[in-house]
Amino acid sequence: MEKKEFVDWLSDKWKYPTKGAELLFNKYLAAAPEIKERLNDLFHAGSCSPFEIRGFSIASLMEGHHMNAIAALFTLDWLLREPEKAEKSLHKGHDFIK
Amino acid sequence: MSDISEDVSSGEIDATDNIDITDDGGDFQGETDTQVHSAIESLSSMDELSPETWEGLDSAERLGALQNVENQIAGVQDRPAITVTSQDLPDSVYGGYDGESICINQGHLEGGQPVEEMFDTIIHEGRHAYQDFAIENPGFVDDNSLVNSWAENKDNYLSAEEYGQETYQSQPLETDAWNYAESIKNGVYENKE
Repeated sequence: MEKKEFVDWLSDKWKYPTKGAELLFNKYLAAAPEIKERLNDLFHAGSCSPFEIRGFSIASLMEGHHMNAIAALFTLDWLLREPEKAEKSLHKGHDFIK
Repeated sequence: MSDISEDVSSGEIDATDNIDITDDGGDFQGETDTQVHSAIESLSSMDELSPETWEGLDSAERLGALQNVENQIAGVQDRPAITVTSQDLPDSVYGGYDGESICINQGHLEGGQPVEEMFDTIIHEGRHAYQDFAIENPGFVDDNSLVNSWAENKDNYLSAEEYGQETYQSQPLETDAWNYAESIKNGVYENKE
């Protein structure tokens, strides 16, 4: 996927700010092939095949951690690269700042 | 939204890292290390924070204990203490800071969440209050570039829900709060063993 179509897709369909979409494009370029493939499928078909690592999946991250599919896929990419660090972080959850 | 469905299982956390008390020479790091040591010293003596005592507290008493922690850590950080409240939040959300108060997950307060994790959360959210105080009061923290990075991050906060766990955790506000809380938690609970 080219930068412009990725950024436009995240901005138009997923309502990301341009700066945020550009940040995620850089992560997309560095993503593992199985993650990149699913992001491409999501872009072209609106859905992608399941993927699971260390007990975390796209669906579980969406349901249990309230992530959208984009955030879930990039989290799975982290689990592939740094499994122990990512898993520890996920089990600690997250917070919010308003 | 796409139609994806899968199952999940979970594992255990190993949060037993040692405290890093190394001063890299920067004023901010030195100030942070001083805060961490002061916090460990003052909070280690709080009986409510021991797992045995915590077990016997109801949720209102637990909230009171966390307010006491916030009052003490605010003193260590030389900022005004803020109110700690509880709220129904998704299980993966431990708490939050809204600029005026700290919010703790009510379900975690009532349930079997280990006291160490509740302690980590209140220290973490208190650190966000400190960051915010530094943004609102120029000169409170000497390192202007750091405070500017916090201010910029606050305006462009990257939620886990939209950007994923790695991007969320590695942004300046969160990296600082995660490291700070973990250092104090490890110090306090090593002292309690």
